[in-house]
Amino acid sequence: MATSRDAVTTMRHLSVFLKLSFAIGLVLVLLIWNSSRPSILVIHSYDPGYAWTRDINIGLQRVFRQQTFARVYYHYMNVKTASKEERKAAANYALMRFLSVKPDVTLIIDDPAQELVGSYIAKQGLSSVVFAGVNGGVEKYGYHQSDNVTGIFEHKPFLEIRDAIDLIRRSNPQLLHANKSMRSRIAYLTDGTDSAKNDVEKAQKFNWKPLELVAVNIVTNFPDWQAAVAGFNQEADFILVSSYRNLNKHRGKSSKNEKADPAFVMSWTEKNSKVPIIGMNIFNSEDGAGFAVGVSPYHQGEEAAKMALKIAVNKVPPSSIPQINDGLFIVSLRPEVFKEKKLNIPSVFNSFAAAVEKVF
Amino acid sequence: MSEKLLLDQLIFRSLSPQDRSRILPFIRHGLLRPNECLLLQELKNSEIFFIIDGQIINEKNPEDIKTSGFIGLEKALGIEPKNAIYKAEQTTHYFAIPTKILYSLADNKNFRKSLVGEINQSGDNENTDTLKTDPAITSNKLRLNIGWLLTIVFPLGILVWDYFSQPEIAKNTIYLACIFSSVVTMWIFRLLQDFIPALFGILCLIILGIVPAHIALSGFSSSSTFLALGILSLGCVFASSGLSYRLFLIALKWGPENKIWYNFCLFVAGLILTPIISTANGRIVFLTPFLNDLLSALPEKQAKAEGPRLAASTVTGATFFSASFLTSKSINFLILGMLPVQDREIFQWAHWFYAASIFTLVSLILMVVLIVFLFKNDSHPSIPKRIISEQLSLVGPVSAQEWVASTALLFLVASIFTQKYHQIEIAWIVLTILFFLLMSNFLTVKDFNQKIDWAFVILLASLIGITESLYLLNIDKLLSGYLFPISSLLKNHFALFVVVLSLVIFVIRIALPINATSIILASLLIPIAVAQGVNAWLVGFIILALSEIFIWPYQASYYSQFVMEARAEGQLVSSKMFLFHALRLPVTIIAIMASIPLWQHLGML
Repeated sequence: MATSRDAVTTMRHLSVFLKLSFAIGLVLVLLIWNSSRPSILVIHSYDPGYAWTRDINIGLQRVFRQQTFARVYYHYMNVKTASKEERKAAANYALMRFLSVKPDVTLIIDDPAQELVGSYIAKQGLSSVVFAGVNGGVEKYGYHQSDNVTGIFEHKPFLEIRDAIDLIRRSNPQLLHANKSMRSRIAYLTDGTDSAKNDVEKAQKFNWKPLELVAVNIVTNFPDWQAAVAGFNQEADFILVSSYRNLNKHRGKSSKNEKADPAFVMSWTEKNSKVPIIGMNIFNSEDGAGFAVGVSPYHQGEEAAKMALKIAVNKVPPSSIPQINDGLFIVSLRPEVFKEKKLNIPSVFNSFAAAVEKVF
Repeated sequence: MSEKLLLDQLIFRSLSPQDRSRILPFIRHGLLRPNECLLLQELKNSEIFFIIDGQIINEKNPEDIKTSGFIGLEKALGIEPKNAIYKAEQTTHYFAIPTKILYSLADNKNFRKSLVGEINQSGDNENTDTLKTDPAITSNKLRLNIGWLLTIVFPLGILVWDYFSQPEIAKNTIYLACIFSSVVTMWIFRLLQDFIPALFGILCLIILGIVPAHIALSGFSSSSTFLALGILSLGCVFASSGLSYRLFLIALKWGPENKIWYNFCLFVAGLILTPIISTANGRIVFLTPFLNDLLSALPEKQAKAEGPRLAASTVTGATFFSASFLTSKSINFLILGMLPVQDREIFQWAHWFYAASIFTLVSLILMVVLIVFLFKNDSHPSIPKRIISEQLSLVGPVSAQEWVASTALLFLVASIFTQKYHQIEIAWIVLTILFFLLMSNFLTVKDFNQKIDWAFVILLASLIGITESLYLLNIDKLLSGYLFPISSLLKNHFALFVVVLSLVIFVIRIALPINATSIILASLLIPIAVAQGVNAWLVGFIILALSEIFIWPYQASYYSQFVMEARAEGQLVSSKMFLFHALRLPVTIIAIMASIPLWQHLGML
């Protein structure tokens, strides 16, 4: 009798011991496994609803979803239309996020985030940095002095834009300007964001032949934008548009915080322009432009994600991964605009835009 | 002797040691000399008697002679006792237990069963089929009818408006607005339990194909939902373990015998329970017996003088800091679920508390000052430590349940503060703890099925899905444009926004309960905050903090419950108490304003 009671007690103790061992073992395994997983923090300059950011995320996820070992976190600084104080607050908030995640690699996208966060992280050596969406050089962020930085540039594909315009005008003889040199006049219109100004500088230095850049207008509000479009109708054969998300809705200081709706700006522009609009960002067509040639956001995302994984998972030093400036571009189309303006779309663009699912 | 009574009588064996311990201070020992009477009808609402020895006879029914056992036990079940006059035939000793305390324990199914059994056995079973019933819910038919009518009219109105004015808004957005208007009307008019309209919302989103099913159902895979589930389970294990009652008694035993200490114990008990038990009602149910024990143990005069302050300490500690901790109220999980992904990842437990720390500190100081000065009195109450020691001995040695509850809590706290190193989201840690509790059977499957607030879990998951749908359809930007004055105020004049919002919430709260107010305002204002680039957590937190303010008991279900269950000495329905509640509004506003520098420092403003 006593023996069987002892046996029951022993079995009960053994059961408790086994359960406890299982619990402790499980916790240890989870902790050890998890602490060995690298982490990547993606810091975007803009918000996730912004078409450019959204498409870069598609590119990032094409690569990141192929693995589950590295943890990937996203942070959106949302500084597209931010004031100086708001940019400072956004920088503090992003740094706080950085410190709470403590990533192995920080993947920083677009110029504002490079300036507000990336330069500090790289300078302090807090983590490896992969940049993407950088319009100009990286010297101003101090990346050239750090060996823990690599990335991909987003230089406007002026060469491809020029060739695309040339092809469009050749497909539409009525667009060929009736002067002897057969040079079509192009005008450049943008808002005054830093990256847009960088692009303007480069555009002015670019050799546009057989086209001619006849005017550049940087405006800060929608009425000025409207006036510029009206003026370009007389002066140019094509209007190049870049950025317009930072346009104030009205003139004057009181309306500083009320921004013009980007889709409305673009659809108004297309409707009121007598000459074709050529967008220099893919999302221009999404907003209403008839045609756009831009750097591929998917490619930016994919390449940056590959670099981040190489550093985080394969432990490849960033300095041994070359920076990319291959200007891979895509085109986007809005056929109804071409139809309204009685223009032919070169078939190569039709196929290209359809292949990258950018026909709107 | 009274301990013996409690331990020996079969009916009390179904109670937990903590509940039995709670009854102890209420037991009165009495003596009837020959020919003295117990008038049951006169005492029908006050006490139940247990005859220890001697003999009494019912004068109206001479065959009814009692030498031991209970008299009037049916009162514990809410049944009126039969009319009787018991007269002592010889010297009779008895115990008297207040009916109220047994009545409150009759919610415990086993105890209720024992009571019914005991009454049936003693033959006093004439009315047991009319057992305790909840107070009748008086339904306001007019309100319901208006509510249902508007539930139909609003979506139809939106469709008609869309048909005639042809706004430049996508059809799916219009349909979502129709659904949302119905859901909000159901909430405002309290037509159904909160989770049912939310379920209706996601059903429509899926069936009408307004958003993909995986977006509408995203709440069911959200970490916020699992965090809520885990914390609710942990709270359930903690509440049933009796650990906090033991700690409360130990604090009373070792602390000084004065009112400052008693108030401190009640206040701190509430504050400690705030992040552990995820409902304010749960904490009030849990703490009211502590307050009642204290009040009953004090001399009557002193209890009356100090009662309001003790009650204020209890309710403040248990409810005022609900917004300060992520896990203190189920609605907080909801706000977390509505935040954009990055804020959701940032405002896990520790960071939520960090961001709310100045608010907590300032409001804590101000509330203590308020409690000290508003309820000033000259009484010097003290409780004999002998009683507390007896209560402690009745609670018995630390049980396995208490060990498990404290280990789980320590594990959670350690995980929260070491998250930087292990990088595991708190939701998954809580889920691990839930797994261990289920594996070790400390949380039984039966309790898991019955004690978890599954209706809330469904509400939370559905609302997260609805919020994700709002973001997908860019309703945030649309709202921000339509409500430009609010957007502008939020972005450019934050302090003014807080003042305006506090007044708006104060007015809304006259008609709407806390959760409905928070849900509706958060669904409107969080998307606007996101569109304006203002930190969404800030807006959610302020809504949570301001929605807690009330003046009259009906405005907060937990306070109504407190009024019903607490002893009269607490004077919970008095002008002074109403003033105390009203002063919570300026305290909250000051605490929010005082937090602005911290929020600016954190880059949230």
